[in-house]
Amino acid sequence: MKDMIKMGLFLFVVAAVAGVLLAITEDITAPKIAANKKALLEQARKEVLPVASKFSQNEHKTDDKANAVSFSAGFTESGEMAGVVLNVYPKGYAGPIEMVVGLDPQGKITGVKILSQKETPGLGTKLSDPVFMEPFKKLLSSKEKPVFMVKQDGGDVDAITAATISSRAFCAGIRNSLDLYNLIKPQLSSLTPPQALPASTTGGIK
Amino acid sequence: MTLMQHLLKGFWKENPIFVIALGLCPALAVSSSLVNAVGMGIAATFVLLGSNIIVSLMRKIVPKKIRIPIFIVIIATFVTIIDKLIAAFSPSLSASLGIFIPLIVVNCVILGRAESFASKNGPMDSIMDALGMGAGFTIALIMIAFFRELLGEGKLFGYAIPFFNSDPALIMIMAPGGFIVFGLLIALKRHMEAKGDAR
Repeated sequence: MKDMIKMGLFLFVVAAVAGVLLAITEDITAPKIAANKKALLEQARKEVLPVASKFSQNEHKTDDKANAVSFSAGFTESGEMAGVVLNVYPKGYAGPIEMVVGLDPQGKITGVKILSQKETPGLGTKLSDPVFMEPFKKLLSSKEKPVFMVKQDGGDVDAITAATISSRAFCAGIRNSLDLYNLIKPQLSSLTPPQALPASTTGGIK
Repeated sequence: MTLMQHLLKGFWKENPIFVIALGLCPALAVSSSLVNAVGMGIAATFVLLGSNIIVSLMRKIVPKKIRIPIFIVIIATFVTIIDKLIAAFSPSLSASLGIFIPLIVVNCVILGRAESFASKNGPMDSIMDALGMGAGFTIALIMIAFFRELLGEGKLFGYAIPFFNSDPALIMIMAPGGFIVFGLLIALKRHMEAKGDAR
């Protein structure tokens, strides 16, 4: 009996020390990780919508609060509306794939970037490799209205071999971003560029 | 055994993958390309080193009956702290190694060495054991990945290899290919050892 209490206490102490260490680490690293993520997002915005130099943070209000869409609108140096950047999170093979999609004012996709993913290393992770991205970009520039589905499902996108689920998720993300774009379209003309605020001070999309 | 022997045994004689057969799940998952194999090997070696040192230092005060849960707490804490620190202070390293860290949590080589070596030996021996086992793990992954990437994609380290890249056998980069290469390599190793014993 005495032995049992002793062992329980020991386990308690080890777990408590581990908990404290983890809490301290989280405290130190959380703001830095958030800042890194924000920097990555800002860079991604510029990559998917290269013509824009300023970004604003907007929200599309709907009656239903859960369906509110947050997006950032991009503007050129002269203050012209250049397009929008949307974040979508399609369900991949092993968790959500965090994608950033840029669209010009006509609703045409200008770029796609994957911010984070939990796909199988070596298979699904190829989504962000040129092997998959280059043919996809070619498809965007060569076809007027591509069908964003993998070829097995009757679409135009070449799936990654042995990673069809990941490829399907990618296509779902693209389709989702087009739907969201249509939703926020009426609001776009009324948007104005952010006043002298550099892109880095506007809030990040969570 | 001397320090050198502790270091060298993991390379071949007690190779964690081919002989002890631990940590196969993450090993087969990432051995589809050489780049991933090296990344996983480095990340696992680093964690192994840290966990072996801590377990070895605590071995005299840990009650025998509850040592396993304690080791698990230590390893999980260590891996999480490393993960957070890398993500915060080296985003580029996190981008390349980050996907392997969750896989290390399920790598039983780490717990295996904590239990069978570090809990019975001093820190110096444990460091050598960790380095040797980590290197052995990496070597095994590279060997498997070499064949899988060459035959399955016709590439090595992402560079196309003539002849092989004309019509690669895709099954090799999928799970069955992993098992096939793994099995053949174990057979080859056994064969070499059997020959060595006969002589």
